[in-house]
Amino acid sequence: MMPQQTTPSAQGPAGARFIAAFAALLILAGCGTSGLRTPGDEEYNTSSGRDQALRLSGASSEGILILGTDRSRRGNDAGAGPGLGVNAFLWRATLDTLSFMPLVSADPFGGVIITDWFSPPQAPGERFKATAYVLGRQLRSDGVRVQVFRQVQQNGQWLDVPTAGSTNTEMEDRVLARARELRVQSAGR
Amino acid sequence: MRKLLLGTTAVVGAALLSTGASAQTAPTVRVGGFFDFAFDFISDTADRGTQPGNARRPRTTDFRSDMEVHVLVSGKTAGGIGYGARIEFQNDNFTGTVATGVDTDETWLFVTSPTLGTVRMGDTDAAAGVMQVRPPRIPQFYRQGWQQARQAGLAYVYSGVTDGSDITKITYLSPQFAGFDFGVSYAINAGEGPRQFSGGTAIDRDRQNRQNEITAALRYRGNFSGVGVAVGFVTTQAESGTNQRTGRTATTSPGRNGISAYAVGATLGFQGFTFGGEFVWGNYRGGSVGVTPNAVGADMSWHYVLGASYSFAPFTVTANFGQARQDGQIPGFNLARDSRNTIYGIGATYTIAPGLLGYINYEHQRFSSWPGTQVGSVPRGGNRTIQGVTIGTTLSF
Repeated sequence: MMPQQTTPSAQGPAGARFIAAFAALLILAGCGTSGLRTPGDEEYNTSSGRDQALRLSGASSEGILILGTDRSRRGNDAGAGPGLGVNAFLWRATLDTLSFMPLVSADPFGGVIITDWFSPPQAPGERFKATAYVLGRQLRSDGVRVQVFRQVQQNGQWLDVPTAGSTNTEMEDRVLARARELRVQSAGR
Repeated sequence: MRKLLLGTTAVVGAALLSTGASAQTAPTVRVGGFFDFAFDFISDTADRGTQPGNARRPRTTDFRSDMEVHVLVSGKTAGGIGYGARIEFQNDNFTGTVATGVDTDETWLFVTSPTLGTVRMGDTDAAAGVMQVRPPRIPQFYRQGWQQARQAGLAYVYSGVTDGSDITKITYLSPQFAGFDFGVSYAINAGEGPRQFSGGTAIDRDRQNRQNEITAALRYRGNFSGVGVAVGFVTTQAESGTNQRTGRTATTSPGRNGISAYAVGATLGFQGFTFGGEFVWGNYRGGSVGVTPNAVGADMSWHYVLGASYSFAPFTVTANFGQARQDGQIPGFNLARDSRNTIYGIGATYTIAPGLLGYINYEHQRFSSWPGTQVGSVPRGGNRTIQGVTIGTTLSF
């Protein structure tokens, strides 16, 4: 509400109203467009049963893509996070699962994690090394591959021995379970 | 000086329009929707005694299914302007039969700018409807279900402003600044869709139903030390239509020439709790606030609703209490008493999986001086009590 005032350019009530409107625009512009944001659809009431139920269940479904290219970056199933070239959940889950072994290298764009040799306290004559590959941006059950290498000490030398076939699969299952946990936790927010 | 002011205004306008470099994307088309299945138990005093046209009382239980399929179109221009459309198909029963068909719910086209707001054009909710600050309520999501279990339905006196009215309109929703945003909408008349006629046997563009509906909304949303606050005010103003102004006799009044409704509401949210309330008043009557005029000389109608909810994933529990009053002077009829309605209920939802909800609701409504025409054994002006339990599941995608 502009106080009543006369200026050299104001010509009666019409001029005062014009200045008031201009002042309002100036206030808006003076604060810069950084102060303005257009709310998204989810910030308005909806009478759509679909939208109401989706908001209540915490799901953010944009629907099933029929035509066009999906360029939206979604943080749930598909998508690499910032600074990653592979699925963020699988990447984090692999790091968490292999955290008991010392890491030699981790390439977040290629999706490769290589550990150093690790000798568990319960088996001092054995040591293990793991290489994990996170494949692609999708959270899929075949999206991670783990290869465990095993050596045993004989006569002061480390010799390669084969690992049980199920070892690699069990490590992959653990990574997938952890990735699932992370996804559920992030969807609940 | 005037030229300087105009020139500066133009620069300001251009600055506001500029949204920076943005990639153009061709429209995408997605399909979404929901499917709902529920079991209803209804105890209605209107079901007692003599039933017109039926030798036996209505049953107290029923299954119900409902579905909608939405087509969601969205694209973006090189200037960063978003555009698209939303087309909602729904199933409905053909009047008086159990057969179902598909018609449309809401359909609209939108244009949105990151800093200038959004325009919606089509058959969708008014600005007052989409921006009204309302308390948490059950049912947590709109299900017609048992509330319309009888012919003549249930006076829907706790609705949002112009709720359920998708008359063809244009709506502007402003950007948010310092927590504030506003909206306005305008509808020429109460028609929807391509329209053949408004009602009766008249032509398009007739004046039988309400005209020139303007709604406006202003709300504030903020966060203070982890407490979310929302406060809002909305209003609707319309001219009533010629078939709404009838009812003048020697002893009764006609409908008013104008329809108005005002609503204030506030909510507080913290640590999973949400508390809220609203107070609504105006010269309107019947269900769906603000679409039907009250009688000349009648007092304003009003209602208030209090609500509370608590979310602890994957559950949400909601409870409501509300009261409404509408004058006993109705266009063309005088009730012996004003109509009063008291409602309370409690409900819970459980998230089974993303998009899949289970829910259970209990609701109790009591009418004194039923304002509508006779429903079952309840005459106009009689008392009616309804209790309902709904257990259901909804899949939304």
